[in-house]
Amino acid sequence: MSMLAQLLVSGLCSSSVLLLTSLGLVIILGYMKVVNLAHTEMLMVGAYICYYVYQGAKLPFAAALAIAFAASFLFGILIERLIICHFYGKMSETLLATYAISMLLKQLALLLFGKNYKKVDYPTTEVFTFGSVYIESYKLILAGISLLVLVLTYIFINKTQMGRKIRSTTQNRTMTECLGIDTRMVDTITFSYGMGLAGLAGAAIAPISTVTYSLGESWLTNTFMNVVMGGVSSLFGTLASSIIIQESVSVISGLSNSVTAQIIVLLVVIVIVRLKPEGLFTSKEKR
Amino acid sequence: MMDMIKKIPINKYIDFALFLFLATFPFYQKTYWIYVMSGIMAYIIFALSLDLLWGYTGLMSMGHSVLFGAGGYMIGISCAYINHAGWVRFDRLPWFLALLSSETGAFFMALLLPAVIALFIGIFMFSGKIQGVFFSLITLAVAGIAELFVVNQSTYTHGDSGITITSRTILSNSETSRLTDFQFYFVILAILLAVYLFCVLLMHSRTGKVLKAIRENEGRLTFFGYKPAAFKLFIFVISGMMAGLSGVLFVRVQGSINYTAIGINLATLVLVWVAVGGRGSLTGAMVGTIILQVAETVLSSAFSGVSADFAQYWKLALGAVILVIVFVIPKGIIGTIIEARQKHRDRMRKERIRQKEEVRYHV
Repeated sequence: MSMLAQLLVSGLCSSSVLLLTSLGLVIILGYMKVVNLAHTEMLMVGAYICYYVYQGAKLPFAAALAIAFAASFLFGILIERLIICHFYGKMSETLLATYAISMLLKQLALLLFGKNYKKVDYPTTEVFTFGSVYIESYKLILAGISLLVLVLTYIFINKTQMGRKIRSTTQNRTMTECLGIDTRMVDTITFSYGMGLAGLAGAAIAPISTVTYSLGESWLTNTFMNVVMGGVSSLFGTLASSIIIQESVSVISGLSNSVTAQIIVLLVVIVIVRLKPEGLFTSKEKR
Repeated sequence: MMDMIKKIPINKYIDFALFLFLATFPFYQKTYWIYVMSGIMAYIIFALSLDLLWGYTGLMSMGHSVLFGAGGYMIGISCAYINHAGWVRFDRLPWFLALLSSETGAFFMALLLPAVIALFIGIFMFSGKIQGVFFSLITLAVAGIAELFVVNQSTYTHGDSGITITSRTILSNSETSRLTDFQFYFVILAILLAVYLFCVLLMHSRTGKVLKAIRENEGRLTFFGYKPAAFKLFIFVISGMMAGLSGVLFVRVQGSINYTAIGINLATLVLVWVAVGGRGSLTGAMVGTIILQVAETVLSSAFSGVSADFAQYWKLALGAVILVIVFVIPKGIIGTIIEARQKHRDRMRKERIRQKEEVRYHV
């Protein structure tokens, strides 16, 4: 029983991590219909930024997060203006272009930083015990960060002027342009916000993972599965599917091993997507 | 007669030249290049199978290597079992791999397993009207999981190290019967030619036209009373079997298989070959594969003395190549040639019509 509780709690922690790492992808896919294959490489970039700012320059951890977000945001602007904006509405070209970007990022990281693993220290090392359940305090902080980012993103999209522009551009681009809104600027902001979130997530997960050039690969399957299951343009769908995926992976891997768990969950995701092609919690709003 | 020859599209000439080149290639090359080219030809079959799916039907599978690797691993496991490789710890194959104990059984399984995987994925995706990008994402996830799975199931797949096999024949798995590089080259060339002709026939048949219609406008095809899902499933299974076949040949040539043959790396690499060559034409898939693979081999031997990490720079260059391709010639090399030729013809026709009309006015 206590083992199950432990599995559930650690599953909840990893759900929050998965949520954090997939949010940027959901934003870009949901509001721009662009699949950003470079997303997971931005996690890697964020993790490296965290390593050099927090571990190397000894700045506070929050500063590392902020710098990672800002740097990825700026990089997002650059990429969108230079490359992505030419391929809107062309699926294959977008996939190829973003894959090329991810390849370039990964190889550059390999050339610049080498093959060695880098380790980022935990900002807090305390471990809380509730009865027989252990939680590392950093995991709690991560969960907090991820919920905070979710809420802030929700507010940004739904309550601010900019968010309103983003939503209207998604719903009706021509009409939005007629109202005098610069939709190209909106696209750039949306894309770079998604990239920024990826960088932030990368910096946040740096302490719990080994920072190396291939960090992105290990997240590829999970984040994309999560987005497929949660449904695009639905933040809370992503929250729900993160919890479902990671809780089931955690519980099943407690019973057998983690790869079997991932395979079972993948099969379940395929079946679920068959039953609900639009994703679990797609909003019912009319397009 | 001349008209007939003129009507043959330009890519058929390129195909003919290509096969002529491949057929004469081993007569003036060293054994090393024959070996390299055999591997490339196995990859060409793989690229053709993706081209049927992506170029013709418009289904961008980002996990096609799963089907390639599934075929290859069946042969690998079979060889390891029959030849009692050192790492084999099991005495009997489990029931789902029982066919692998016979030679023809292994070959059969190598075609069947990819077909079954494709069928399973296809049934769920196509009947559920999962389209476009979601198909790509799910196949990508499948490739990621397959890589983990193969490394994890080390009892049968020898984990990270992969399987080494020594038999180089079509069917036989014993270590003694072994064709030379030269002989095996022509075996693969014959299979490649057969696969190519099959693709040409398939794409010129009614089915092929329906497949292209799916790419162009699936909704309208549904209104005509076709069931796109059934056609997509059909081509996915066919393409899966071709990928499995290429996996078999590749394992035989290479003499080994490991987890990279089933994972995301190869899956995306084959997309790059097809994209560079030009999707939607068989020539494009073949030319793209040859150009990139030959370039990699030549450059890596040229730079082997300069830098030990050639593979890193090659991948960097490949990333840049993809960007250039999608920006400058999004249709790929062959696609652009075909298009230019088409434009030229249209201009010539307009010119002729104008001349005729001028003559008529003067009279």
